[in-house]
Amino acid sequence: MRNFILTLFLSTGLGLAAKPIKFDFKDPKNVNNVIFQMDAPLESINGSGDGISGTVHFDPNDPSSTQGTILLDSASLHVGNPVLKEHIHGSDWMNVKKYPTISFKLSKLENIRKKGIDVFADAKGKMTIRNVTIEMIAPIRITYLKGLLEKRNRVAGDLLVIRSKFIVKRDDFGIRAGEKLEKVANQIEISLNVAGAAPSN
Amino acid sequence: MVLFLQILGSATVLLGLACLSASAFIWHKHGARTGLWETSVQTTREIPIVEEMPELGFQQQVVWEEKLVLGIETPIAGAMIFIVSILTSLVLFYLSSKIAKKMVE
Repeated sequence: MRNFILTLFLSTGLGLAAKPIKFDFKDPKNVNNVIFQMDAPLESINGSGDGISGTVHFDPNDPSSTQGTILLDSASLHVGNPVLKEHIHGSDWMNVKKYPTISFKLSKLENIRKKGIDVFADAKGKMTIRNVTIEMIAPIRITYLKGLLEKRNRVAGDLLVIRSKFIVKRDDFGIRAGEKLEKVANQIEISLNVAGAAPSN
Repeated sequence: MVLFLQILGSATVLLGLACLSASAFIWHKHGARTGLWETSVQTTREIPIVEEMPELGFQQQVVWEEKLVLGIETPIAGAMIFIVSILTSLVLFYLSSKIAKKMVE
């Protein structure tokens, strides 16, 4: 009987430990952002977007099962030149009124390597820009910080930091495909730098 | 009249030259960027993911500060004003010489 209770307790405990934790990427500190860079003849175009939201389910014992969606409010994209910003938000480029969200739906992690507190992997998922969805793989670095949400947001819970650098092509998402290549490069370098919170409540 | 046109021509050239020099000077002061004008500047700050625990890594926070930074348009505008002033002064000198000729005749 004692063994049965012990087995039940352990299995329940392990069962609970194996449950993926849901992390919310809406950052109250407003630090989460996406940085983008495009080559141009005069000077590279640098900008950022801070309208990050979305959720990711992460199991520290099974990182390969990580799933979730990271969303970016396309109207939050900003560059230093106001005319250029207007063009980027406009109907020819991002068309932020018609397509208000850019999303990456993470389906699984592959080629997982652990290094200290970090998990390096290839994130397989679907990127949607301007309602065009393309399957892609992006290198990703995940840092799971158990119980450290309190030190960041003054709320008990866990933190999950996701960092990634990858390239998307304008052509693939119909952003003036094959046009203006002499003015703005086809490749857009994207750097993702986000922290998600899982309050324990 | 001839003297007035000649003085006006010289003044136009000097004004154009002043515009060119001023635009080049201001542009240089703003960093002599080859890019376009910007009304906000990107500043990247390294924020610790967890305060007082930098060993856990940093997150880059992008902050946009409203600030006018002049671009390549500035010296181009200065150069265009200079060219226009040269052309204007040439016209003025041509007119003055024509009037002078008529007066001699």
